Amino acid sequence: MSAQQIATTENPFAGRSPGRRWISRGAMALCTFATAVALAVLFVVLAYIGIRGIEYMTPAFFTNLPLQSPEGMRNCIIGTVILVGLASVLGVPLGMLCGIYMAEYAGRGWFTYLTQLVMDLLAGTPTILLGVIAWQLVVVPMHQQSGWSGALALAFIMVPIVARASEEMLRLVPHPHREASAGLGASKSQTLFMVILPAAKAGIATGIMLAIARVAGETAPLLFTALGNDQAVYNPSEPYPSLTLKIWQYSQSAELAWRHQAWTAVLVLVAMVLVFTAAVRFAVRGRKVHVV
Amino acid sequence: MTPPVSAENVSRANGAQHGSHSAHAPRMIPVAPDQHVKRHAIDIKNLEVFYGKGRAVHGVNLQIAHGEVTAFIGPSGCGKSTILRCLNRMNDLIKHCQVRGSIKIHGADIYDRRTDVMELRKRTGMVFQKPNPFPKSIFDNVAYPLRIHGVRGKAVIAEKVEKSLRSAGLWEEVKDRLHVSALSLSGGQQQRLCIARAIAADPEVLLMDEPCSALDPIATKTVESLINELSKTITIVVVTHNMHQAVRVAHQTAFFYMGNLIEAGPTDKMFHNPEHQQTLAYVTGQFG
Ligand SMILES: Nc1ncnc2c1ncn2[C@@H]1O[C@H](COP(=O)(O)OP(=O)(O)O)[C@@H](O)[C@H]1O
Ligand SMILES: [Mg+2]
Repeated sequence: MSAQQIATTENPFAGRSPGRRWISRGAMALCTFATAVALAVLFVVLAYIGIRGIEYMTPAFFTNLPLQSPEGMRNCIIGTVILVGLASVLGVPLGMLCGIYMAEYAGRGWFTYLTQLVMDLLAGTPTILLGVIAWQLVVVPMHQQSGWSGALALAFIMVPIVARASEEMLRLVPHPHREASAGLGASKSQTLFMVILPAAKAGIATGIMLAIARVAGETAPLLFTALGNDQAVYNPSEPYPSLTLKIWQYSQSAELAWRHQAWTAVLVLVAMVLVFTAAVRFAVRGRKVHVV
Repeated sequence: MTPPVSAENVSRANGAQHGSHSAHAPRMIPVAPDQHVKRHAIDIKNLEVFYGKGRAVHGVNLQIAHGEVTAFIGPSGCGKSTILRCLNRMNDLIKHCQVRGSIKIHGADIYDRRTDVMELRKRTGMVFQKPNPFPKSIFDNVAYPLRIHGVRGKAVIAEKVEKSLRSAGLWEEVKDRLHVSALSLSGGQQQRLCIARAIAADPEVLLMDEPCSALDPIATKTVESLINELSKTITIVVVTHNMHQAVRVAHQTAFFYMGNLIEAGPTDKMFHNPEHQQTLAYVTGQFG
């Protein structure tokens, strides 16, 4: 469109806008459509899990053990909670310390770059491999599958997620906060604990929450580490019960009643993650990182 | 406009410093003794600063007396901030920055190996160009320097916070909402909060790097009268781009150009008959 054409129109700004307006509308429609498709798929999956899960849900599911009659998965629910808890106790502090180290102490040098690369690699490693490592480290020397080995495998998955989230959140805290604190005579650790970490708290909590939700649903790394247990055994030195292992086992079973129970277990697991996520979000609500 | 520093003026400043530095703090920097001979609060000798290989400050010598307000003026990039940041060793935070020469505050060389940098910074408050309150409540911002320096006791901290906010002229505006976020304050209020925070731990020296450049004229006026008020008890160094501000607040003015101190002297002399042609050209707005 030439300059003359633009000049002759009534509104000097009208010239090129119709085309742009259509492109903008098209892009908008495409985004809306993509979001709708993603939401629809998610909704169908959730609805299906909900319907199937509730259909076979009984009070005994929550109170009884797998080999009792009627059958239940009490030990697996408790086992998953403890397993994920143990993994968090190991993985969250380690991940946070890595993140703090990368963001606050290592600067932007080659070592940080290398650490970031390793973390990203670890995050992208098939989780079954992390299970193999935990097996080699714990199961082989102890001559037995155990809760400890399962928790370690899950912790390996958590570390890179928590580390990268912490690092990014700490880097988002504006430099003037650090200067202000140093200028008042604070030591590096005082600045870190009293200014930087509180400012990044909500973001780090979100990262931890994602990591926990992620490992709560992991099965593969537990296959030859935690192994599973049909008794109410919660000693981490022994083979450990877990919901995901039970789902995996029952979903392949020829027994219809077990396949039905697997659906209920899936629903319970999803509900547990959902409640936990909502609780964390509520606890840190409205307290974002302040980017001034 | 620029009262000469009388002996009385100096001793009053000294007296106040003595009062505020009771036994608890280790004295890495000795407080100037009461004496009739005028001692300098800050004594800069042959100061050179390098950023990597580039030299930003070329051998500056400057003395600053107790209880005086000194303005640093000069075109952008002439090294004002760099020198100011040497006075509380904030340049230590910049890896490639190297400082040579000596700076004495109350007679003690602050670049000496034995200097406790945290203690030095506690005793030389700093206010930055852009207000930088922490994302904490108003109260917690002012209480922060007290807490990191080991002041304990709710009542003591509350009392100090109130006193600092009063000194910064902010108390009346915030006394009913001490526990809301400091980020809810206006720019001018935030800067006064930062001043309150900087003086909470009773520093003897206050360093201000263009404290009004992000503020509107009314907020600027408030901060200027605050500087006048605070100078009764604290030695103040203020970097400013605003000539009128230098005239309004400073007893002494130092003019820098390309990393050199061209000239320093009483403010009215600097603005009316300076020794150097360059100074006159700058203060009359012919370059800069
Ligand atoms: N962090 C830094 N790294 C490298 N050079 C710097 C740094 N800070 C300042 N400088 C340089 O030092 C000189 C003086 O800067 P500065 O003290 O900020 O000047 P002013 O405050 O007078 O505007 C400038 O040439 C500037 O580019
Ligand atoms: Mg500057």
